[in-house]
Parts: sequence; structure tokens; C-alpha cells
Amino acid sequence: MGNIILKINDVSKRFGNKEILNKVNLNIRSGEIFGIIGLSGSGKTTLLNTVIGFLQPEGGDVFFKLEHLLEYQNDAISYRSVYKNEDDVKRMFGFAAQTPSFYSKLNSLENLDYFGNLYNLSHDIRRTNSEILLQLMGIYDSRHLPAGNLSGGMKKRLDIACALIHDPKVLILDEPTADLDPILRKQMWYLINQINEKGTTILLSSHFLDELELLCDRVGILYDGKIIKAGTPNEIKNFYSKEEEIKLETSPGKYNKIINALKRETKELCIKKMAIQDNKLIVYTQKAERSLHQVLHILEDMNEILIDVVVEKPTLQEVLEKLIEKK
Amino acid sequence: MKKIISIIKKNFKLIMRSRISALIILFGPLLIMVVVGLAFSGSGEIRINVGYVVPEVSNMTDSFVHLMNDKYNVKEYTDAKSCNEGIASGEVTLCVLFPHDFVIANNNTNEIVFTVDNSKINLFESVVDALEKSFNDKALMLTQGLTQELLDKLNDTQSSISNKTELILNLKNENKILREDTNVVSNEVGGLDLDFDYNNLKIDVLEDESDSLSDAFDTVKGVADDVIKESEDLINDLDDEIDDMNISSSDKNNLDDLLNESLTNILELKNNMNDTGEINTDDLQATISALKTTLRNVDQKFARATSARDTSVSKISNMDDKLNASLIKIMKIEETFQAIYSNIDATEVTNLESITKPITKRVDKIFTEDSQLNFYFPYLVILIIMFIGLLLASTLVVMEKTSRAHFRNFVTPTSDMTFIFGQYVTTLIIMVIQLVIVLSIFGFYFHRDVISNLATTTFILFLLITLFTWIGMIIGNIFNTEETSTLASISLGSILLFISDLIFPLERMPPLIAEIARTYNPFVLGTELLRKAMMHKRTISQSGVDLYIVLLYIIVVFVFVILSHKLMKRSYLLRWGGYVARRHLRMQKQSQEEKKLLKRYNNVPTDEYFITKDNKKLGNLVEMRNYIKALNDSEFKEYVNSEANVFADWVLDVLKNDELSIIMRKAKRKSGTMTCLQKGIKKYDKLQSKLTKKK
Repeated sequence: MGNIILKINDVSKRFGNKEILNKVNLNIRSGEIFGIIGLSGSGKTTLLNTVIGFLQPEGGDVFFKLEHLLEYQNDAISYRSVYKNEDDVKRMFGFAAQTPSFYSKLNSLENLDYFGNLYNLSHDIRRTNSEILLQLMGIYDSRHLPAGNLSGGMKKRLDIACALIHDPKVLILDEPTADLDPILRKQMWYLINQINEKGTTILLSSHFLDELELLCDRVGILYDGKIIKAGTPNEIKNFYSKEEEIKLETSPGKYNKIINALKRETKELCIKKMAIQDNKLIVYTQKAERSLHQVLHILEDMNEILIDVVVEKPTLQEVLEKLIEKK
Repeated sequence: MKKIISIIKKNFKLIMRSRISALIILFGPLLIMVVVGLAFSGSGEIRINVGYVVPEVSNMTDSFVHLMNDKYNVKEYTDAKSCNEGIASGEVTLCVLFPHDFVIANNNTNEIVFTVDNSKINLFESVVDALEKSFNDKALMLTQGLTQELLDKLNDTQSSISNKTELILNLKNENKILREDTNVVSNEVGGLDLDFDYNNLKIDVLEDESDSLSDAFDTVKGVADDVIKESEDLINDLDDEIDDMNISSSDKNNLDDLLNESLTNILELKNNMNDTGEINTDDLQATISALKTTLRNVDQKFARATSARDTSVSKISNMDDKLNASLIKIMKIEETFQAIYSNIDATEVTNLESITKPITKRVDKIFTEDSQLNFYFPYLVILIIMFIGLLLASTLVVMEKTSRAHFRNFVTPTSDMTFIFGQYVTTLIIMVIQLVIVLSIFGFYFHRDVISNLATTTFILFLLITLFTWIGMIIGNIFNTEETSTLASISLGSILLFISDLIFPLERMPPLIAEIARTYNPFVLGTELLRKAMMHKRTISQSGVDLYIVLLYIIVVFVFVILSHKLMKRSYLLRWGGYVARRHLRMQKQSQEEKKLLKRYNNVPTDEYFITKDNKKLGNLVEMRNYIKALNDSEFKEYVNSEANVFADWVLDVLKNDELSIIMRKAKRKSGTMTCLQKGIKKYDKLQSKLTKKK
């Protein structure tokens, strides 16, 4: 990850009487995938729209570093306000909103060609970029179909392709995997990864915390109009939770009995919580090794057959739940 | 420039890929031209349906009906009411009501009433004019007939007067003679001596004398009788003597004869005496009496005659005066006749045509074509430009605004002017194509000259296309949906059309409106410019103030295009922001409500559990469903019937789930309730997993 390419300084945004963003501060580094996580209606989309310059904040500013100055460190010269350098922003940034934005009656090639023209790309570059993007997005074979006839996933990919036609330095994606089935979501994440591997900084928002956890280099938690924490997923998880999760699947699965048995040693094993979820027993403990050891004993005593066991840190989702509970 | 071309290409692709749009764009003007060309290719004569009512058939009514029949489709009605109903139903355009007793006579006004539907404002005056003209022609014929009659009578009068001059002269002379004779008569009559005094006649004396005479006569008669007797005796004695005389027998005979004769004479005299005596005395007295009476009568008559004479003299004198007066009158008549003659003679205009048509008019048309298409063509072209310009431009803008891709256009480094010009040039190209089609058809099919003065015409068309396109773009920027922008375009076009002179002459509008329309209505300005260029072959420099106004309009409208585009963009972004905000708020609210609902569902207090009639406690929908499943129909009815639905009540009161409660109340049967519960359970499960995922 390189220098800071995007600085969000004290950005505040309100709609009517409702304050959506309250002095949001965030730095995005060049080349990273940064995910913004938050509850529904927490302001993720608003933040992204503000960053691209689509919405004007009531307070604060968003600064970006010009492409050719990315290597320089000097803040004063390098950074420009997004709101005062619209054209530069539009050239450097690509944006894909939650709702795909292209012409349904034009086919994929025509859409890419058109938008490429609006970025003043030459015919050759447009053509080359279109081919590459269509291949990358996996919609090359249906390039001649009217865009309106594409499937939901393909439309999303076309939308992202349109956002990338001019080879932007920063790609902003608003919930790129919303409304996609799990397989398509997986494909989308793979795609995002590939785009990032080519050097594009990606700033995205998503509801799917598990994916963000896997994909993003860093995430920021947006809550109550503020970024309450930003960092790598592990940093966040460690910051909010020292616990680990032991996930057990046994047969016949008399989890209640196991829980009862463990309850006696909760304090000793620093077990914070036990829950049955999705036919698995989850034990939250700060002493995972010892707890596991004890659990295995209990299983043996109860003649429970161990089918599966996983020891891991709580997910971001769990962290968020906890966080919200705290708040 | 590249970007503008790209935008234009994109717009064309979008339009052409909508087959209907493509058809309308290509074939719309064709269709308009064909329809309008056929409609206006006539000479403008009005062929209408005319109803008529004839209360009494006459030669006059027949001639008028025959006249109408030649030019119009006529239909007879029995009365005015049914004819008016014919107008209302559209069967006929107007009614002609002929008067009763339709003849040309002194006391006949012969009013023909036209009943017309004046709500058809574009037609009724032309209709009335057309029919009036026909009727006026016919009336003119009648007038000419009557006038000719009058002229003939005047001539006859003049001739008669001329002929009667001698008669008047004779009259005068006779009058003179009469006067003279009258004077003579007057003098003679006046000179008649009718003095007669009865008393002077002394009739009484005569009577007395008559009496005396009668007495004397009687005396005489007595004497006469005595004489006669004596004579008779003498004769008889003589007769006797004769016999005794010695004379010849012949002498005897002669003497006898003489004596006989004498005797006869004496007898006769005796008789006469007797008669006379009887008669004369009486007669004389009677005569005297009669004479007296007669004389009295004569006296009276003389008196009356005198009176009559006097009267006659007076009357004769009057007669004289009257004859004098009569003479004066004759002279006056003579003067009058002379005056009439002179007047008639002095009449300068005696020619029938000159009297009935003292003024004739001739309409010299600048253009000699019969077809109206030529004259309507500029209006037609501007009409197409206006409506299509407004509609197409506004629709393109709105289509772009409401398109998904609109957002992405904002994200690209493309100036507003590029988008504006892209839209403008797209519309311009389409309209040029349409106009080329229209002009080609006009020139080729209707054989009209469009090539001459092409440069000026083209320039004017270009300006007008630009103007209406930009107005359409302003409309598109202001309104957010195709429906409202179409309505606005049509409304504006209609207003401009109605305050032009295409439907209603400007000269008939209030002066202020007419002036505004003439000076500021772009439709009127456009049609005037085009008409001058196409019909009168005016050049650009000769186009006048109208051209400058149009140019000014273009500049002003262009400024508004830019402003409205910026406003539209700002509004779009605000709406986008508003949309984001609303979505944000909606999602927040929904999320909170769902959480509440779920929390309530997952944490029902034990004391609020549903307690069944057999004292079972149900804490959630799953348990409820299972319990209901085990009930039979009659047991179920104890919980759910027409009066109550305790399960729904519990869902509302305890779970606070209004939606589910309402659905459950609609279900009256066990199966329905279970289905509702099952749906409710699914929804809760979905909610649970959704919230979990979101977190």
C-alpha cells in the first residue's frame, strides 16, 4: 500500500434535520481495498457519494492526490479538493453506484465506447480497454446483447466495467454484491481482487462483512455518522474482542448438555458466552486452547462424536454486534 | 466535438432501437404531408350539408332549393326544430328556413333565416358566407328582374307622359271653352227674367168675369136655345111650307136638303151649344181654376226658377271657379308630368347592370394556384417544426434524465455545454431529415416550387428549428417525467397555435393580444418569415424586423437552456441526495421496526403467553400453529368465529404485529389461520436471518 491517495477530513453531511455524516475522518491509501461497514442506513452510500463529489458536504472537505503526484509526500502541494477539481476527480475516479448505470438499449461494447468517449479516450484505447474489461468481467460473449437483456450479475459487471473504462486510479463501489446470489458474489469479489491487483485503489461499501473481512485490506466502521474505527480486519477484531470462537459440530448434538457441563468451568476457562447456532455449538472464550481441551473431554464422556471443530477469532459481524450492543 | 458526436450517435441508436420512435420519426412527417396535402389540395370550396325547411312550396322556394342542391348536400326537414336537431347531431351544418308565402310582393319581407352552429368557429362564418353568397346571387337575379320591371315602367311612364301631353293641352283648351261657355251660360241664366207676380194677373177678377161670362153664356145659351128652337120650328115650318110650295121637285129637294142641312147644323149647333155650355162653363171654370192653380204653380215655379236661376248662377260661378281651379290643377299636372318626364329623362343611370351592380369588384390573386396547399404550407412546416421540436427535444432530455445512465454522465469529465449541444444537434438532425422528407414530397408530389429562394428558406428553417428545439429542451429540463414534459410541450404549442392566425384571424382578436401575437409569438413570426421567403421570394435582408426578433429569441432561449440545465443538474443531484437520504432514513426506520418486531417475538414475557382453553401456554407462532393443527373444527370455532379471533388478538396485542393480525382476521377457517401463521413464521425467520446477515 502506498501513500494516502484520498483524505476525508471532518466531512459532515445532513439532509434536512437529519445528520447523516458527522465529522467523518478517513484516509485511503493508494492500492488498497478499503471497505466501509455499517448498519443499514448508517450513511455508507452518502459517504461514498460525498467522496466522489456528487454530494456537497456541509462541513469538511475531501482531498485527493493527483495521479502524477502520487509518489510525492508533500501534502500541501499534492492534494486537491474534490469539490474544486471536478474534472480531475472524474478522470481519476471511477464510480459504480448500487443501481447499475448504463444505457439499456445499447450493448456492452456501445456503452463502453460511449463512456470511453466521454473520458476523451482515443478510439484505440477505448477498443483495447473495452476488450480487456469485457474479458475481465466475463461478459465478452454477450457484448453485442442489449445491456437491458443481461442478467443481474452481468449488469453489475458491466456497470463496473463502465466505471473502469478510463482506467481510474480509484474505483468507488457502492455495495457491489448487493442483490447477487452467493456464487455471483464470489465471482464479484474475485473480480474486485483482480482489479485491485492491477493497481486500482478500491473504496467500497458492503453489507457482507464476511466478504469484507476476507477481501479488504482495511475497513472502517461507520456508526452514528462517524468512522469509529478503521484498520485491518484483524486490528479491529483484536481491538474490540480478545475472545476466540470454538465452533463445534457433533453427533448426536446434545449441545445443551455440553453447555451445562461447561458451565461449571466457565470462570476458569474464561468462557464468555456459549451459543447454539446453525446446528453448531459456539463457545466464546479467551482461552481457546484450554477450553477446547475441556470440550473434547466432555464430548468423550458424553459419547458425542466430533464432526467438525473450528477455532477462530470472532467475525467482523460479531464484533459489530458487540459494538452496537455496547453503544 | 468528439464527445458531441458520440452523444449524437448514442441518441440515434437509442431512438432507432425503439422501433416505434423510428417509425414516427421517419414516417410521421410523411403521414402528415399526405394527410394534409390531400386535405388542403382542394380549391377551398366548402362542401357542406345543408338542411332546409319549406313551410309552403312555391316557385321561389323551388328555385332556391335547386340552387342549394347544385352546390351542397341538402336535406329537407319538416320544421325548424327538427332541423336544429340535425345541426346538433351533426347531420347538417346549417339550416335554411324559408318564409311562408315566399313571393315577391309589396308587403312580403321574405326573410330567409339561416340557423347555424356558431360553435364551429372555424367553419360557421365561411359556411354562412358561402351560402349567403349563393343566396345573394339569386337575390341579385331577382333584384335585376324587379329593377328591369321598374325601368320598363319608368320608360312606359315616360312614354305615356309624352303621349298624354296633347291630351293635357286638349284638356286645357276644353277647360277654357267650358269656362267661356260657363260664362255665357252664367250670363244667360243670370239674365233670365223670371219676374212673375201672380197677384198682378188678377185671376180673381178673371174668375169673377168667368162667372159673369158663365151667367152671360147661360143667358146667351138660353137665347140661343130659344133661337135654335125657333129656328127649328122655322125650319120645320119651312119644311112644311115647302111641300106646299109650287116649285119643282128638284127645287123642293134642294130646299129640303138645305133645310135638312140647316136643321142638321142647327141640331149640331144645339148640340154644340149644349156641349159648350156644359163644357165651356165648367171647363172654363175648371180651366180658370186650373189656370189659377197653374198660375199659382207657375208662380211658385217661377219663384223656384228664380231661386234656381240664382243658384245656378251661383253654381255656374262656382263651376267657373272650379274650372279655373281645375285648369290650375291641369297645369300642375302638366308641370308634374313635365317634371316627371324631366326627372326620368335626367336619370343618368338607366342601365340594369349599372343599377344592380353599381360597384363590381375583382379579386386579383397574387398567386394563381387553385390549391390551398401552397398557402397553408408555411403554416404546416412551422407547425411540424414547432410540435416536433418541442416534443422531441423535451422527450430526449427527459429520457436522458430518467435513464439509468444519466448518473454516469455526471461522473464523466464532460461539460454541460457538450451535453446540451449533443441533444440539440440530435434534434436538429432528426428535424432536418423530416423537413427534407416534407419538402421533397411537397415539391415532387404536389408539384410545388421549393427550390427557389432555397438559401433564405433554409436559413429561416434552421433558426426556427433551433428556437423550438431549445424551448423543448427547457421544458425537458424543467419537467421530470415524459408525461409532464409532453403535456407541457403540447400545451405550449397549442397556446402558440391558438394565438396565431391559423385558426382564428389575428385581426379578430383584441388588439393587445393581436399585437403581442404578431410581434412575439414565434409561431407567427416563423410563418411570416417562411411565407415571405417561399411565396414572395424575399431574401434574408428583406425579411424585416421579424428576423431580428427570432434571432433575439434564440439568444435569450439559449441562455435559459443553459440555466435550466444547470438547475436540472442541481435538482437531480438534490433528488439523488434526497433519494439517498430518504433511502437512508427509510432503511433506518425499517431496520428499527424490524428489530423491534423481532425482539418482541423472541422475548414474549411468560405472563403474556397465549393460554388455551385447556390451559396450555403458547409463546410463539410455531407453538400456536402446532396447537391449532391439533384442534378439530368445532374446537377451532371456540377461538375463531364471526365474533372474535383470539389468536389474531394475541398477535396484535402481544407480538405487536399489525400486519399479521390483519391477515389472520381475514381467515375464518383453521386452514386459513394456519397458512397465515406459517407465513408469519417464515417472515420472522427471514427477518432473523436478514438482520443477522446485515450485522
